Amino acid sequence: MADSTPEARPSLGAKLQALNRNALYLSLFAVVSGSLILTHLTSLQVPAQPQPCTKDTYTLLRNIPAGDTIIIDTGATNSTRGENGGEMEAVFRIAMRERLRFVLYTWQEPQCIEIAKGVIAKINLERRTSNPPEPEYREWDDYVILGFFPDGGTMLQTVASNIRDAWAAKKEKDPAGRERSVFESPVLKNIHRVEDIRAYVNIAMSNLMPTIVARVGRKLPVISMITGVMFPEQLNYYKSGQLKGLINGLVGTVELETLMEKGIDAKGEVGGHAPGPPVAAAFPGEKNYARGMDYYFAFCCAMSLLIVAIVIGNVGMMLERRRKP
Amino acid sequence: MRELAQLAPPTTVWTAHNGSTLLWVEIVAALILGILLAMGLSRLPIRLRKPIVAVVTFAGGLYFVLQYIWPQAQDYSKDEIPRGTVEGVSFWLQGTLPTVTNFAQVLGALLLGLGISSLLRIHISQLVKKHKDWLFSLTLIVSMLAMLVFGYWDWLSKLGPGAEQAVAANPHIFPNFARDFLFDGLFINLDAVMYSMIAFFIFSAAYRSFRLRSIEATILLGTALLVMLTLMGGVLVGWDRVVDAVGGGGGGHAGFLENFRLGAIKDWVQDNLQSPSIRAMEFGLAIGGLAMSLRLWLGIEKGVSN
Repeated sequence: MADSTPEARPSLGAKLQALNRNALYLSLFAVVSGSLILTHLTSLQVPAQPQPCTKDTYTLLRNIPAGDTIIIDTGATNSTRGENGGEMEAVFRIAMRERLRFVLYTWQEPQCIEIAKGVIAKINLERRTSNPPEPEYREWDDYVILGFFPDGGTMLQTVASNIRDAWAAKKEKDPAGRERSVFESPVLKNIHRVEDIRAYVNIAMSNLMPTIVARVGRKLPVISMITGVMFPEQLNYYKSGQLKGLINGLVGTVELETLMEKGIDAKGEVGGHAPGPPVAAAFPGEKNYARGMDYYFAFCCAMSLLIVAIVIGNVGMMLERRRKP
Repeated sequence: MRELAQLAPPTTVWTAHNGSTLLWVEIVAALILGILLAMGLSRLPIRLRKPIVAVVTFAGGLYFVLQYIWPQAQDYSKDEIPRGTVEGVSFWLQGTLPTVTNFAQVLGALLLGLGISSLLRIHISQLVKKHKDWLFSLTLIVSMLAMLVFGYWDWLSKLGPGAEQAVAANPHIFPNFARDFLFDGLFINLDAVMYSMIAFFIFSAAYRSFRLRSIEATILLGTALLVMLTLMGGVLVGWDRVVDAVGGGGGGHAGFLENFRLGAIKDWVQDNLQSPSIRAMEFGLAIGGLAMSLRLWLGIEKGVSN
């Protein structure tokens, strides 16, 4: 004889503990999409409190004299564009506004250079269409691209020993279209030793920084711009002084953009007005809040949703525990 | 004329110019030599191959160990004559490093080629044998070839004086348009989509796993919540305003309240719990890595010795 007893309906606690997975996915999709659209429509700005490591990064980059050269070692791909993409845009903007020259290369993924070229083109377009228009950043005169190094660790060891030998085979086209050694370009013509470079900025999604610090860290200041998940590991290097600056993923990018907007005054206050020369001046009237701030509200909403989901699950668990004898 | 001739360095096999016939001959010769060497090595019996691999590994390792520990000349110049053995070795190490670096780059690039050939071998074989997922293999091969063809076509179209500017002025030139469509339009967006899907799994996993089941789980949950809250600038600033409002006009009471700023609590957790733990793990990993490197270098690791 078939059992005709109706199945017990699940309690509220059990229901709260087993929310439908698709409903969770849908809620995340709706919240993130909605907040991104809202940010786009209203140019929403979420306040940020810059951490000391972000302040150090900005102070270092902001105080390099115009015309000096830095290295930008990019590992930004579109898989981490929410974090590395914003970091890269911010560092390019700072470099271009201060008229810093830079050497761009990657030893992380061959596609990184193509991604970086796209970002440079985007910022150049912004500069061209700004009011008043600003001069574009030009390859050869303002920056050189060294391409992809399959074995970056060995290359960096040679850079530390003799930078001219390390990149001796690298050539770039000058404005006339002639292929010439990168050391004839305005970017590298005055660079004879690695110490002549003012900073090494590594934008990465993985932990390549220890190799960089070990090879060149004693000869020039190294700044690491990484994804949030790598931040706790690299914080030790910052605390020990081996890293002179550190940017913590999307949050760090928003902090950097906040510093570009507000600056650091003579007393070290963000956005303060203390008399005296500022520790790191702002870029007033420029487009400072960019990709970082574009994603930040969506990120905060996603975090809030995550907290709400965790609370719902735990409330369900407690209700269920109370119900059972 | 002899004085003038000294201005331009003579062309040797090591300094062939870009695009010259000599360089192409060298590339082809090196490729054939490399293939023959690899084929020869793979056909050798294992007992003969092992010592060759071990000796090459040891020599390569020794070179880089010496780079670190051997005294280096501060301002080394290729024209200087060394005084004594120590300086001689130092000069040799510094002088050969660029060549070794270039060799390492070429070797790394060849490994990329090896990866591509291996990928193609597997997927072409799956396609030919009509394996269960042959459609995926076909997609991969077609995508790879399309990117290769249009990537190089675009690159070639930008060679020559003024060509790059012409492409920039008219981005709808076919090879440039096709390359942009494939790379900027498809590839990088698919890349972003693949990674952003992780957010959904993290969300679902966090909802199911972050439960107050035990004391350890409660500590973990509390720390995770603290980290999440401090990542939200609005919460951080708002919380601090509340602390400021409660603290009022300053003094000892306000000083004590400073400890309850979210950032201060997070910093305490980060500096006293998180960072030391990670540091300890890093030390352990580094010692393990050192031991592993030593085993590889000395040829006693299983993969080398067997």
